[in-house]
Amino acid sequence: MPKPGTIVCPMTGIDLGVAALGRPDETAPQGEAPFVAGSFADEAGFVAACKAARAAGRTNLQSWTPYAVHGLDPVLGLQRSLIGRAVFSVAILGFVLCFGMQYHLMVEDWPIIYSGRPYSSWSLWIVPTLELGLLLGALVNLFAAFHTCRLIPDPFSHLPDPRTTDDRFCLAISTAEAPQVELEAWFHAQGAAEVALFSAEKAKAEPEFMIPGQPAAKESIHA
Amino acid sequence: MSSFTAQKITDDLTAPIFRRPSLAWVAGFLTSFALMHALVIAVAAYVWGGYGAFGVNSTVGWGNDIASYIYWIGIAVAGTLVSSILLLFRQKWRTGVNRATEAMTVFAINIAGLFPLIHTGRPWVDFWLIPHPNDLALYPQFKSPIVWDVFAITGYATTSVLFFYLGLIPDFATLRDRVNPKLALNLGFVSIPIGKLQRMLYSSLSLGWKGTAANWRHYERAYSQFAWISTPLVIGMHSTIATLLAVSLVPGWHASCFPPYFVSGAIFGGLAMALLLLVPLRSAFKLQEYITLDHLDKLAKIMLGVGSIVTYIYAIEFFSAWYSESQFEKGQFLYRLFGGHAWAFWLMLFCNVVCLQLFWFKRFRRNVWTLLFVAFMVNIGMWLERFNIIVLSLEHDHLPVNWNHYAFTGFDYLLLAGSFGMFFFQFLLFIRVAPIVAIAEVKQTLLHKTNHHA
Repeated sequence: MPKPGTIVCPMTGIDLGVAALGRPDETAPQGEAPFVAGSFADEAGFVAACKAARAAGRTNLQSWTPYAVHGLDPVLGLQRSLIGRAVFSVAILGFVLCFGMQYHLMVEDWPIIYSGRPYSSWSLWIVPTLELGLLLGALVNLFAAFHTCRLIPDPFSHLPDPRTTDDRFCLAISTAEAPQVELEAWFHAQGAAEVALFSAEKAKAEPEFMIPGQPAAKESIHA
Repeated sequence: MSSFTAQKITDDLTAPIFRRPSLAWVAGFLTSFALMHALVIAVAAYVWGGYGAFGVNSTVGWGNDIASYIYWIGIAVAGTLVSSILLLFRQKWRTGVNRATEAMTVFAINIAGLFPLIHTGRPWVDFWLIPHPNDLALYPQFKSPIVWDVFAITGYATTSVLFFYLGLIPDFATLRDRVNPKLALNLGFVSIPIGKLQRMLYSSLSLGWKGTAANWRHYERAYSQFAWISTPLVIGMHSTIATLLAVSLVPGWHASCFPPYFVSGAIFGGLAMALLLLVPLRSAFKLQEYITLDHLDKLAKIMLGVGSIVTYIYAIEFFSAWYSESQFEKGQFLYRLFGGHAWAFWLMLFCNVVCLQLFWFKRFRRNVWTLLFVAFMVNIGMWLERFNIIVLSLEHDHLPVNWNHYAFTGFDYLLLAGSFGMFFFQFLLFIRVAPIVAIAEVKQTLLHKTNHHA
């Protein structure tokens, strides 16, 4: 039996990944409690801090990096992206629909002898079938990526440190897991270059903190 | 230990966008903008006076427009090779050149798309290209390669644009977070808030990208899937165009080697265009550390490989014509050697075969002037190749009574020159708006390795 909320392909039994589209936003800190965010100047220190946080039993984590750090997903306990299954399913659907459309139009709706070929020239329909199926797959791929990454035009970026799109690696831990002071001390012990208190609400209220060179949250920076 | 840091990479790659445009850029931009209007004039003359504005006649119905169409499609194909096929083969060096070649793909394909629309003769009824029933409830004939072509181009162009944009999103976010919002251009009577406008532009284009672990996980998945989708699309697309010719009975077209011939020729010509763009670009923007001689060397080696396949197919075409014992095929290929447009054939051989042999030598593959020379010659050669295939085959078909000569009109020259103007106009505009080397991908390639070695 499939899990509640999932949609399974009737032919292959594979989870279509539709449930993943409705998952809570993994790209923003969860819950009401603010996060303590530590910025690291290099990838190695950041990955070590992530491992240490998980080893210490922290589960409500979030991270921001300037590029994809390979090997971070298992450290942070992230699952494999299910976009692939959604795209595969839609591409198969596109193949079936396009092939069916050609069969209907060329054989049933208005059969015409064309270049002496039979009405049902299935081998000649492969190209439109392939092209349309892949096009649908590409469209679903992009919009699934937009949806799962929560990408919509937004005048402000809600980052704990604007340099995370440049040269900083940032790890945030919810204060629901440990007191703020304890987390700040922990980040310093891990070698964080800067530590700050961060919440998504605060970021929305104070867009000016995004100016390059300005600290992320002025009142609790410990350089 | 590498000398690269994330900060340095960001600074180097965003510098061309945030500094004032150079005189060379302004000159190039204005020239290409002016040249683009040649295309506008040619299209206006054609819409006003009909298809007779161009040099086509009752025998050679496919002329400059179709030759240029296949040429520009070929340019686009090489971009997908670098962005998708090399990604699937895990060639990390592609990160130095993939953005420029992807941009080349997108700009070449939109120019290529113009030519079939012009070629229809009545562009105001081009909506019939979209498969829908006519007044008799009759649909397009899906058994025809002409209809396949519409699907192929539409699918490939759309996917290329989506892939290109997805790759740009993290870099737009980097630009968004580096804009100085207080930057303004004071003209005395008015102050233009350039910083705020840039901020608005990059915020909109980056779609609120955050770069969280979950973001990157989904992003990388989607990015690699685009590579999986684009690769069969691009090979299928250019094979479809080749099939469109090969299924006809015209001597010179009716050959089963056309699909691999067209795909390898497209990669060959496209890589030549990529070199033609990358070599000046790396010097103008001081990107020699990112687009290195190693990159150019590798591109030249791929060119040599696919160029050798193209040379082999040139020989095979002649061998097949001789071996087939078909007088029409033999006549066609003798016409190419000694006919009215023989100069085009011999010049093509010189550009695509003779000049290419320089790439057997390492010192020529690593010399920017030789690279530019060969790339320039191959671009000429590849356009001539399409001219030979399309025009010369039609000029000399089965019936001597049909034989006719094709000649460019002034509007043909304007159309061709204008297409180059439009291409360089778009490319020059793009390099001032977005990083021409993929920032996030280069950081991952250079720094990830550095950290692990450290």
